[in-house]
Amino acid sequence: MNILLSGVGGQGILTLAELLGDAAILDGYEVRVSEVHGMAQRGGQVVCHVRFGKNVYSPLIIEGASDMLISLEVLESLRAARYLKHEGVVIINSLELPPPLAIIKGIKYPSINDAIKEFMKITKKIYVINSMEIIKRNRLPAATINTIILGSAWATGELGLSRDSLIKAMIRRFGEKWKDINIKAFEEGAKYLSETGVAKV
Amino acid sequence: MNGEEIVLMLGNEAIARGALEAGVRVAAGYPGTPSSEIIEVLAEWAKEHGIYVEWSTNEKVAVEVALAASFCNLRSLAAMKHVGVNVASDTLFTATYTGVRGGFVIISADDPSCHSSQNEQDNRLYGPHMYIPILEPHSPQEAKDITMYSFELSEKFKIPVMVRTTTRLSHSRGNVRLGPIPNIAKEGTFERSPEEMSCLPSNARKMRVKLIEKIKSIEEYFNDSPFNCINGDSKVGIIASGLAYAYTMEALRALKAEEKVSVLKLSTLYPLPKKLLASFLEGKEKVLVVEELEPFIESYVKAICCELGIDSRVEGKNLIPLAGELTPLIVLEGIASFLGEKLVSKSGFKLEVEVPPRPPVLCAGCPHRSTFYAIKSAVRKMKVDAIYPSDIGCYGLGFYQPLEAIDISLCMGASIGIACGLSKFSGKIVIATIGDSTFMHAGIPALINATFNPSNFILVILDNGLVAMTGHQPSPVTGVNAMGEKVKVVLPEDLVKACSISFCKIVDPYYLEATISTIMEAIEHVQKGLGPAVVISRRKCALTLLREARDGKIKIAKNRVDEEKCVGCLACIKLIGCPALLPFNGKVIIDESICTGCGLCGHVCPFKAVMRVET
Repeated sequence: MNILLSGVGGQGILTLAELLGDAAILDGYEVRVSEVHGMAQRGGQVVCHVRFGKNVYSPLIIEGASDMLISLEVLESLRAARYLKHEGVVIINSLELPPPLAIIKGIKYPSINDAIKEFMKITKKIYVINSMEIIKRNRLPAATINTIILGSAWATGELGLSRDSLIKAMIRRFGEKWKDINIKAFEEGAKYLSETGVAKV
Repeated sequence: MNGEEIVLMLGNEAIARGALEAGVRVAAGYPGTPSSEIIEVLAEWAKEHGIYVEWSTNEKVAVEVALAASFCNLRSLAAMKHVGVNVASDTLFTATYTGVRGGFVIISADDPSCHSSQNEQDNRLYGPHMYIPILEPHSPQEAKDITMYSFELSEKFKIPVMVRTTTRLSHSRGNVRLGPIPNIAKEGTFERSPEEMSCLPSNARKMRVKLIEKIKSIEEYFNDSPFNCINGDSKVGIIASGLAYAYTMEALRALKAEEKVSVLKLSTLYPLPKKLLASFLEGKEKVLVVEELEPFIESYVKAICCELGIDSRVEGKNLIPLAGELTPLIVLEGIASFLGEKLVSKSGFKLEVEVPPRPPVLCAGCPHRSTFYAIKSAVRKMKVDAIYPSDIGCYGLGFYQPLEAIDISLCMGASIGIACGLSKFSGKIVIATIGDSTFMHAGIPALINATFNPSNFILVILDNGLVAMTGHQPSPVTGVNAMGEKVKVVLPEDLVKACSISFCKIVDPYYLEATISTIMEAIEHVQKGLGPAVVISRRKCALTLLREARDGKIKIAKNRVDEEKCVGCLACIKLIGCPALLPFNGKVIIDESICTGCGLCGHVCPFKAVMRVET
């Protein structure tokens, strides 16, 4: 199983990748998780490769072989698109963070509809998650975006990890104190995906 | 974390864990991506396991501290990035002569593709140059195992041992089986043996002869190393090491060629085990060497074939690129071509929309942004022609638009030496920038030079109180060390004064006007030929400010856009490129969760549309 995570530095991509890795170990797999980013602490593009299965050697996913692409930001979903396989699953958090350089250079920021149209060329399994709306509606802390998206990814039925292990990994990483809030966020993310279904333009 | 548990562990953490399980007593390093987590993790474990850990002022000092611990019969480790080994190399080149007592392991974390480095040098080449044994793991589990093995090796042959890792291994996580941590409460002891530890010519000549013998014995030993292995028995072979081995195994699986090719995985890279290689090469029609960066193994394999009259065709850098990090795709293509297989591209996915780049940027409220902006403003106001040598740190991002405040950037500390030269030969005003930790690391000798050989340039020391880029490790200005102990602060201004420099002023870059006028004074000072002028721009890292505000330790202001006044001209974004400024509904909004209230956006807004809000 190959899962590619993309987003912007500071969004917590790495935490999400570690959660998936921890859950995969709990499910008995061999795991590789790799973070790819440039210098400095935040603001640049960040990609994490998560791979698990029986015999895993490479920490990187080969282009065109990712079973799932999870992006916490619209533009970054497109930058990572080349990794997705035909009929792979795409989950996009509908947040838009235009890079300052795009504004300086006058390059148009692609809309969520542009992104959906692009992905439609290779897959029907496109899901757009408005995590901000879920957070507001359920009065969840802003830091639960990762858990919401994780719930959505699980709800596709194609994540290849058990709900039990995901929850266990979450509790281990975030602590008992945040258990109920994270389970709530996970379930709301799952519910949102089941209710909205695949994205259309 | 004791016993036989399997956990998800970062490559660097696995190296640290291996050292701990091997009974390391002392660890030292200097922060540098991708190596920093090794020392960070050991520092976290220091108290519990009674080990001594330090962030040294530079890599050379780190190696010296760790080597001294080894001289005191303690197992020790030094960790650094690839270019850090250059700094430490002066000591290391001779430490192989003296040899060691307690096991001494140096971790070199190389950075193919320069993800966060100025070059992509291949430190395996230090092996034959220094006569230092080198091993390279391919997975986090092996990173732990090889680190442990290296301590044994170092003690067995009384020689420093280098473990080479790369960004991809250091920063990837995998299953690691934990072993027991030995309970050693050991004090160092030192037995004098001046002839073995003083490299005076009379001793060094003898030591070199001994060293050559040691390397020969280690080569023999490596022929049977458990970390080298041969899979399969075919007339077609591949030799691979490190991550290249991981990608090779995936490529062979993708090509369904696992049965057709035999693979030699090499982990002992210097000295390369000749007998093992010869036995692998014997009878092979053709062999491909898959390795990242230099043709290190390939050249040696070709030499062995020549020496032993083996007529296998050896391929390598004709199919695997010399520059850049390897990826599974690059290795797959190389191996497919070697085997004469055609690859069908799986993803013919071409995007129609343009995807604008998102390079890393200085954080919202970063004091470096304000300092760079002030420098450029002062230069504009003085109407002088200025050039900007800079150094290694977050502030390297000042190179990019819209700041464009860097003309030259080489390596740690180089800004000041380059400024000494430029001030004499360029005919321009020279304004160098360097961070506090980089200044302490390698800047001081060059600043002394500026007085010794009078040079007229401006040096701006960007003092944010720590090593920011690599993850907020303490520097000598912080007042805390790696183990969290309170220590005396070394102030840059005291060092500057000790260099007999008369112009030394301290500014807070959040007070922009004062910063601009101080830099203007500094320009006047050098125009008059009065010697170097130093401006210390002091303000805590923006991430520290945010954290302290979140923890309730300090109060920070926020900036907010007055919707009535903002006309959406985007001048703020275009002039300063702060990531807290976001275009929204034809205007600009400020992301208050990352704003530190630095006020630079307000300073540049032509419509005075930015307000200051106290929180």
